[in-house]
Amino acid sequence: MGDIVFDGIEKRYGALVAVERLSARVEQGEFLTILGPSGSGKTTVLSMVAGLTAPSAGRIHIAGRDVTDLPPQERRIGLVFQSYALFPHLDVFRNVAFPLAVRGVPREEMSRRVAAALARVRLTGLEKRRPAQLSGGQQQRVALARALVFEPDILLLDEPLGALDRKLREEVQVELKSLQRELGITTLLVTHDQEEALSLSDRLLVLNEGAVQQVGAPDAVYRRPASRFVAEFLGIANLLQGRLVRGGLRLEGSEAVVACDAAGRPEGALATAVIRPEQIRIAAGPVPGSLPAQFRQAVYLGHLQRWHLETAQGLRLIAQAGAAIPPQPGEVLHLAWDPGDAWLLPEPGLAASAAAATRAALLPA
Amino acid sequence: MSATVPALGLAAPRPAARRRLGAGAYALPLLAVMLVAFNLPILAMLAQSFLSPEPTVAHWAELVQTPLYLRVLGNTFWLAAITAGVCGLLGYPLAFWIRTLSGRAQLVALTLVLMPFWISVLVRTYAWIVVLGNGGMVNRSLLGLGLAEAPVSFLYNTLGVTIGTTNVLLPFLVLPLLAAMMKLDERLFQAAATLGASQRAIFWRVFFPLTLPAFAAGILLVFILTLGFYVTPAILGGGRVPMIANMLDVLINLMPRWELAAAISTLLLVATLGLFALYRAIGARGA
Repeated sequence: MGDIVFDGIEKRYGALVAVERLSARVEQGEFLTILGPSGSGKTTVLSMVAGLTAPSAGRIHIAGRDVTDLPPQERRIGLVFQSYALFPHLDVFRNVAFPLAVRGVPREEMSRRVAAALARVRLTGLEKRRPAQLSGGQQQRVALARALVFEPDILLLDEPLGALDRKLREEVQVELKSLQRELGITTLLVTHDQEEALSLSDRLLVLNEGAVQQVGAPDAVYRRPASRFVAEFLGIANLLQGRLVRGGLRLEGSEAVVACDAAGRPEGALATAVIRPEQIRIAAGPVPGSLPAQFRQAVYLGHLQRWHLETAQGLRLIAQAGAAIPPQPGEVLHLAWDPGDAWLLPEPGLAASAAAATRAALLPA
Repeated sequence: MSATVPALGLAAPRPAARRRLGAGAYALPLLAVMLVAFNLPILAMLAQSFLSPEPTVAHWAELVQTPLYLRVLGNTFWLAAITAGVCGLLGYPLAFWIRTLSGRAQLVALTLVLMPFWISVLVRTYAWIVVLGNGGMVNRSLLGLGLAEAPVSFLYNTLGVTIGTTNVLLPFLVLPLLAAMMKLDERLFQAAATLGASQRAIFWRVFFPLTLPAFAAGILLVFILTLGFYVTPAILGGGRVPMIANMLDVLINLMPRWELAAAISTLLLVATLGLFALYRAIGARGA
């Protein structure tokens, strides 16, 4: 058991920077997720912790030990691969017993510990099966039992749910989280799946192009994104750009002033507000701070629907609607939200995106 | 893995059988030619051991009661075993080493392994006489370096024949074994390393067991192929290392005792088919 400290680690392949000076700390017992799109460097970070890739610079400490120069064998880590990497020639028992066998654990103690690990992931009775005879969910649990049976200092998970179907995924998420809490083991997960990241983690670290974008609790990162990238990568974001005026934000190229909390910023400053679809209400008529927009179409998702709308300036917005009956396409609706729900992106993100037109971004959920 | 294959086969026999018959119909004329022109004569020839000149087991009795024939049979199997063993000992490290090479070096190494295929067996076998003879390259080097006091006899004995058969058959072991090694998922070894296994433990507990089916199949294949060698023992053995094929040559062309040759051929065919079944069984386990 222990924490993980990244002390300015970096990975370069020639001129290409895969990971840029990363300094962070995963607290003892914490579940931290590194979230990023493919190519963001998240898998490189994981494999540097595991000792499968050597960093170009910086140090990594696990449980107070500097492991930077240690081979994977000596790092005391439990790693679950996305492909599970179960040994196809060994049955479930011998797969889970593998880390104990190579450590020379006596036979009786080995049987006892393997049985306990299998019981923990509810696989008792499947000891004699080969990996190929197991379902994806069962293989995943064998991999987890194998990674935990030798009581490593930390647990590393590489997109552990990626290969499971949607229905099974939530079930495994719940199990994984409760198992991690029960054991109190420091866990580092890498994924590109925002749902996985939001539901499992104590804290998120959002990575893009090798650089840290934001670190924080899932709720904080979702509600108060530090940059346009984070806002768009996590869920659906309506981005409204304009200048701050008394009582709100005057949208670029329009007279409309929408509700937002200026939070002490000077009037006349450029700002980008992030409004999540679930924060938008459909007002009965024009109210102060509301934004008129034409209804385009509804996307029906069963438990909810998303209404796609467009303002007179061509700005596209997405609002979440419950069971309401969608209006006729072309009908003008008045969109309203609480001033406090419109989150203003911090300045650097604003400067970087000043030229870009305000738009709503729909990312694959 | 092995348990699911027959289960799957049982689950859906009907559509598979129908499809096979549909496509197979086009091959029927060819099959007929094969049966009439190829397989029937072989069966008729083999039947000679029982039917010549009338139904009898006399030829088989002679085969069993003549120590010479049994000795040649035993000698053939012994040589096949040595060749298979030597090919295994040389082939496994060779395939392992080729696997670790980078793309271009791998291609060069593979070409070198395959090169013997491009040269006729006859030419290669005579070349060995030049290389291994008493005045040959190897003996002159050994004498020149003072490593030997008299020329070492490489030729006209089991050693010479083994060198020849190994040279011809090594690629048959290396190529499928290398293919099996390349197919292994690198992440299995990474996983083993993170689980605490030393390089040695990774090799013996993960790598070797996973390549064992292909290795065993390769060794069996070499064994089976050695059983039918004729040119190599004839030339490099100088008639002193008789194998079945050479004995058949004598029985057919010099004696001529077709019935006895048929009996020996039957024995060889049955043994080979048995080994082939074993080879298939091992191959299926590895797949």
